[in-house]
Amino acid sequence: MFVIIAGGGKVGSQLARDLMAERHEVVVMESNPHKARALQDEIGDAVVPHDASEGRWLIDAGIGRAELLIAVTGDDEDNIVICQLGEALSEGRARTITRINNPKNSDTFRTLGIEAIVNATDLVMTMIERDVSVAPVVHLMRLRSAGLELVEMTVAEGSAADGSTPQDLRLPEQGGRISVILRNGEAVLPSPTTRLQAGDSIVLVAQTEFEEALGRKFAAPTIV
Amino acid sequence: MYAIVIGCGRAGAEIASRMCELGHSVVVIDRDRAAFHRLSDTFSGTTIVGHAIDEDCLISAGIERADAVIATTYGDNSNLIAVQLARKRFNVERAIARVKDSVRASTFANLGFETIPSTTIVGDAFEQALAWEPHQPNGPAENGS
Repeated sequence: MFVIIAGGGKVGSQLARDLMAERHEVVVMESNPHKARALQDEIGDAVVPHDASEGRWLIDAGIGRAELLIAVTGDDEDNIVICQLGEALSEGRARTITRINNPKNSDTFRTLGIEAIVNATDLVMTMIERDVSVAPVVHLMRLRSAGLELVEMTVAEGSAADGSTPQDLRLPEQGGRISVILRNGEAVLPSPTTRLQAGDSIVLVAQTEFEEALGRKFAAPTIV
Repeated sequence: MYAIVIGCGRAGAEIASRMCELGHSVVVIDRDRAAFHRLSDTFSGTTIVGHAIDEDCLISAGIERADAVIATTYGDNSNLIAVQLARKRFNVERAIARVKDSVRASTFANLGFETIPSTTIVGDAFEQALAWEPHQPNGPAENGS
């Protein structure tokens, strides 16, 4: 897979290393020249030392043939616009993923119809609460190589999940486990009898082959 | 007309002052209070210190009853988010973003958002001022090119 990562900070560079180790083709875009050079020393030509929201550089980096665009700069507005620009410039072919740094922005972006969002702050908080000592992204990649995906889904009104508990939905038997529910900006750790409601964001660990079937219980899934 | 101008740089201050001269009601938002010194003496509107995409700030500026939002901060991305919020969240009729990057400006224009592509406009103005004819490779006037 050809992946463009916007932002070569801690998250972006670790993602790049992991994806390259799995033999994916990766380009990292980083506008800070010092950070870009340091990353170039490590991973070479795969670094484009420019701002990913600058259209011509995103085109130069190969957005036209990218399958995945991950925006992980430290700035929420930049991340959102990079995703929107990437979607438009790739004519909808590139899937886009971003994160929100400031939880205060999450409602704002949802009203813009941008759902492909993992609230990194919430996720990190949850990981800490659950005593997971690894950074979340590193963790995600390990999951992926084990045939698991971490996905975020929103419970749609009237879906099978709306008003049901994980037990009702027989999730574990069907290859899925809810790790956290994000409700009204708060992270809730679910028990088998926690009732889901429309509007909840569910972070779910799913076996890759069951992901699609699980998605039908909630709504269109967004891969983290 | 009731307008909110986001960003009080040279462009924002100029637009805000001009609108006041035309008799419109104007609120200017900037995250830096010192930026408001750019407003001319003819500016008769109000100023708010706050961030372009902070909904609370936009609401206190009266975005729910605004006829126009004009986003002129130095950041193309902040401007583009601000106009999307104005259109989609607050149903403001006119929301216009200054966008320096030509590609971003045309991309978002195609997505249905009003943009002022400032770099393209300046480029066009220079081209017009110079009024050069297209280069003729075999023309007589060129030396060594």
